[in-house]
Amino acid sequence: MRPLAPLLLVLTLCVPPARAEDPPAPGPAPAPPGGGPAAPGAAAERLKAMDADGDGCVSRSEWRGPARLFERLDRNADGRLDAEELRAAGGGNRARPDRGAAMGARNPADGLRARLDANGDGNVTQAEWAAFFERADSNGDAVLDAEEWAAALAGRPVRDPAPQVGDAAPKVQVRALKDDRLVDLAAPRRLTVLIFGSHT
Amino acid sequence: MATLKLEMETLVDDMQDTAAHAFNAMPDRLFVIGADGRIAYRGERGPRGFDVKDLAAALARLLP
Repeated sequence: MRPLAPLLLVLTLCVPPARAEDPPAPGPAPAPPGGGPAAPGAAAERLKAMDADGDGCVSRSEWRGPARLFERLDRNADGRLDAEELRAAGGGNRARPDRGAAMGARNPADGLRARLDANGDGNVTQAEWAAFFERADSNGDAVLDAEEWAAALAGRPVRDPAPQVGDAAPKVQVRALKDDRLVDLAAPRRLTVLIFGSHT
Repeated sequence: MATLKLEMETLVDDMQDTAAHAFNAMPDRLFVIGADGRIAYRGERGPRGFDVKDLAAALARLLP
């Protein structure tokens, strides 16, 4: 067995901007009383019908509807629709449930609540509020600027300017702990693992 | 860092989080850069998207 190539490990020692303590990630959403916007069974059936690779989610390539509808339903902008997102979209005959809730509501607060209410049970939990903020905060600076806020309320996909797989790594230099030399992450010469966060 | 007893070469970002901002990695995120200088793995932004198991699976695919 060939020995593993040595890895460079990058840690950020800086404390990121203070964030309110995030509540624990919500577990699987319980079935809303009375079925909510769509009975769980209907959403599961829609998902199963389109989930060609059986991974439990509907990807853009598996999606059979309009692309714009996919973007509106993809609340966390991860490029996949899970059962919860399909269930929150409503029944099969409702083409644009989020748009109707967020853009057409007479009371703007109802539109905001629709965006926050991830499981569609009519209530907004602290976890849902935190998840909304995290999704909307596209640059992770703990601040929703006007552009991020408008995109979040309109249900537009949150832009993520991070480099994609296959892209050249950003040309940025970091220091080696051992000898203080500068290393250009765009030319690492070895497989490099980057762990960003205040983990030290 | 000495208490961690890391044997791998270790790099650190500056106090302005320059690398973290360049990778849109705030507050937590995982990446792998290949020896060719291209992104080989990109995790989602944390804390919710910080998935160590996903990274481990990616490394299992990337390493010889």
